[in-house]
Amino acid sequence: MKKMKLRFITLLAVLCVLFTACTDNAVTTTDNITDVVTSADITADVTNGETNAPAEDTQEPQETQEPQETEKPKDTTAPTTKPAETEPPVQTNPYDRPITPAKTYKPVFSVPAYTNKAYVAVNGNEPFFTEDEKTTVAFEFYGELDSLKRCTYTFACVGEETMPTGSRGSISHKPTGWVQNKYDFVESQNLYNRCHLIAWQLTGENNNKQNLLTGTRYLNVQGMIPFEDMVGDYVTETGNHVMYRVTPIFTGNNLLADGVLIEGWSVEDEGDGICFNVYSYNVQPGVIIDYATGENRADPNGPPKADPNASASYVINKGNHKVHKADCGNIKDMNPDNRIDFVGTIAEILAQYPDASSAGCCHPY
Amino acid sequence: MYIVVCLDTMGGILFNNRRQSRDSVIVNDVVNMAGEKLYMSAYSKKLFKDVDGITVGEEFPFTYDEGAYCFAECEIPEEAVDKAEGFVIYHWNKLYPQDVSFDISLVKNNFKLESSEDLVGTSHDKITKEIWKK
Repeated sequence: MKKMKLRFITLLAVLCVLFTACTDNAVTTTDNITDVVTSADITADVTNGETNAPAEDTQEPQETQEPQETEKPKDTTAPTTKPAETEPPVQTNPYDRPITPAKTYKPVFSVPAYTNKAYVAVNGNEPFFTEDEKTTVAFEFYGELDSLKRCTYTFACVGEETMPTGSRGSISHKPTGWVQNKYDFVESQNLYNRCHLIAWQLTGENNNKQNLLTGTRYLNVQGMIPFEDMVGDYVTETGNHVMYRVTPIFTGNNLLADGVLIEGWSVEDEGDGICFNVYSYNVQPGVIIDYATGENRADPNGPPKADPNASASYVINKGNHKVHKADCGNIKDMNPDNRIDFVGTIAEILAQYPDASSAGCCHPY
Repeated sequence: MYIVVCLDTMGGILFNNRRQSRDSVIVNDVVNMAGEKLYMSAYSKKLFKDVDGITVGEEFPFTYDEGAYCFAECEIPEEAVDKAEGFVIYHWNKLYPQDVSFDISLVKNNFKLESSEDLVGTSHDKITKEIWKK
């Protein structure tokens, strides 16, 4: 009798334990479901591989109350396949929206006086474009002329779609300060060029008075075209867009600009291809210019001569030993068999070629 | 080791740490010329992004192996010039902005012009390719 009583009590105890565990599990499952608030959380649950929750349900109550929001509920209708979020997110272009350029632009910067270099970097060669001014949606903007009829600023998102396909026409407009004279030591003799603020090759604007500036031959050839070609080549080769802004800088009511600020930045690669901020000087070595009116005269000291002891690049004609500057426009098609590329000083040239003489077209020395 | 470099009319190579220009014709020509012996920096590799078999190095000239081609978009030290077998120069025939240039005279360093040919580029009317050897 006693044995039977003991067995009954033991059985009753086991039944009590089992009943308690089941009750707690029901509470725990409910808690897990309320902890999962968003689909992202569910995603986290699944991707963390928390599929062993059912086994945990049999653990002690305090363990199931651990703050493991990533626990997957026992719900058998839960997703069993990985969701789309494991695929790489679609790349979006943050600059793929049009912008409205400001009507005026007054950059603040300082540059040293001209010292034999056609341009200097500004702001560490980083352009002043703000994030709001960057876009891959092509546009062109040409600021209104001011009260003195001077051009103000130009701004474009240059791309293949802005570049002209036809041939360039003639220009009739004469910008302020246009007092033309010829000098035999200036390449092509004419002192002044009608400089496009934004090059024709980039946006096709030709006789637009809001895009034209009286600039010296030196400014055009040495200080602007190199940047225009760099941008044009980049756009043609990559199909990308370049933010390009050109701002003439005038002193007071002068009719001739002191120089131009040129900024460039490639958009799709965020400046990896094109990034510059330069000031190019509107000067002509050997010419004295009155910037109030554009009038000009030859410097009585003559055009600057190369330092005979400074190393530079020259091209020597093998036949007549005429010495040209390496960037002389007249040597592009020189027969390679007649051409000597020389890097060194004038003194070294004359030591090696005693009968050498300075080419009249570019006057290297 | 051959040094391969692109120069503008004033010997310029870079401006603001970026190449002055690019042309797909040069990329193809360099690949055809160098084959599996082409070395360059990670920056230059972006220009050759679709090309396999290029060795990317950290510091120019990357290698002095005979017959190798080192594509230079950086300053070229005199030591590299001294040890080079030759130069392959692509002249843009244009003037670009520059703040890094190649100022070393090949003639004075005993290189001789072996060949010169004009290429028609995709964005350049004429690119002149010169091969100089000692």
